[in-house]
Amino acid sequence: MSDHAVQTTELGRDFGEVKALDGLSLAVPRGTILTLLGPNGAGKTTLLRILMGLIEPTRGQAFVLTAPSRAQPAGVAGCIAYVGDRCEPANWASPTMLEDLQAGASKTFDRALFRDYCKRRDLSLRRPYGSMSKGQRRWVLTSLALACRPELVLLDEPADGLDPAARKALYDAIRDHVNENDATAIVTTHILGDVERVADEVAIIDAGRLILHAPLEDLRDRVRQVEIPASTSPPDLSEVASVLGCVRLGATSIVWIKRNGLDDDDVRRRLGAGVTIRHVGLEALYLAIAEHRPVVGTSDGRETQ
Amino acid sequence: MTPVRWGLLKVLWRQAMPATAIGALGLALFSLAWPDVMTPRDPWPGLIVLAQCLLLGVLFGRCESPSFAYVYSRGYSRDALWGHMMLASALSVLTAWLVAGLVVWTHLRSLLHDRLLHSPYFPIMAPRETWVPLVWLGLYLLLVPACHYAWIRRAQPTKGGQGGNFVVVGLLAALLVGFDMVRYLDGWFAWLAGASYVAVVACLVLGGRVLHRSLEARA
Repeated sequence: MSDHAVQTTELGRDFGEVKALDGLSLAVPRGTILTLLGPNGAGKTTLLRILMGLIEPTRGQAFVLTAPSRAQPAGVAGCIAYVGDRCEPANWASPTMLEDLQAGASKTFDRALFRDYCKRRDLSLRRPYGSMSKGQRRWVLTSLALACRPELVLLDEPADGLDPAARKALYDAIRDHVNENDATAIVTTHILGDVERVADEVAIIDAGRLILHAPLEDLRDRVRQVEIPASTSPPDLSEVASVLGCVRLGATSIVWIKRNGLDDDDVRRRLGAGVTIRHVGLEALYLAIAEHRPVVGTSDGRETQ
Repeated sequence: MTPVRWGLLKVLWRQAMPATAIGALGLALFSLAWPDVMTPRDPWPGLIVLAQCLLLGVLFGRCESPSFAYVYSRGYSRDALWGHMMLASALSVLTAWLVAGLVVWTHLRSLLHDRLLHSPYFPIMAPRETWVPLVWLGLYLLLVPACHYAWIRRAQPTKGGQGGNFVVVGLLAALLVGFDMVRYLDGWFAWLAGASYVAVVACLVLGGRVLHRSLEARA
């Protein structure tokens, strides 16, 4: 059995002229929660849809629970749960109907658990889906997904429209599911506070490319932004750090590194003059990538936008 | 062979309800109200059957709608989805057909036209109509897989979008001409026409099943 619940290699997907995914290689270890960050149109939803087998890649490969994302055998498809953007049942469907629909596909579907989730938000099982609020709809869909007790759960902005209390309850439920079942979850969100709450690992994608993928702890403590002017000869980063991602911005190359046990002064000394090193928090790092501009500020450990 | 998943069938059956209503109401009204003796060449049943089958194709084939993506992302295999869609279509068709058939076979039509409308044809001509609903069933048998094949073919990610429609329209036109010619020809040609009908239905069903495995839910 592979150690990875999801593995993609040079994954690409075109929609006409638009490259929604462009050579994305990503491996998600089993038993982790990966939060997928990226600006609108970065390719997050496309990636999840390919993993779910709803659309097929134009290039590259994607393996989900060791099976190709396309042509998943029924046994594998039943072990994956998905809550998608623009992927909702018809308005006339009641939670009971959705429960029956889901139970037919997933052998591990736990009806009692689903009903318990609905009870927590005082949701009637006979109420038509179309009459629910946006937050209630997301709650029902995520509850259905978690009640499957899936090995892999793909959640595309599951907390969209939820109030803060419901959002906390939802992420607690996701965390409990992953811990209790040794499951894997991939969650996309635009709310960085949610990432801090739930993530084991963080991946940032932009324009269909993986910009950065690292454990949350590393991002908090060890990630630095290195700015290398074009006039400077490229330093050898491999000795001092692991490269997490990079972008080219005008005459400057921006590289995000994870320090290999060295402190900032050691890294700065080894990379030489002309190279700037900055400490970056998750929010600043995300905004830097989303807005295609580097974190600016002092190089003494504080960052500003 | 996939066992019947009642939860999925229930959702698909509910999804097909507008088409079922149109077929059942249309054929029942025709059976009750048509003043002449019914024949297989009456145009209205053909149009009602076509409308129901087209609507079934549209209702099940909205591959860019969120509800389509929802059903397709529940974890069912493509073959299971396809099989249940065919089953739901068959139930929709049988419902409409049985409602209309019962109007004819229970002599409700004959009684209505004899007692209330004082038609000179009834009840004498009623026995000549009893087999006409079977022709409608034959038409359903051809049009359901044809309409499903058209949308499945259109939803193929890497192929020209409208090719499936042309294939289906061409096939149906050829078959209609073939059926019309069968009236004038006996013997082996009639058998050949019958065999080609079965072959076309089988090809549409099998072709749809194979192509359905690689269609995309593009919501």
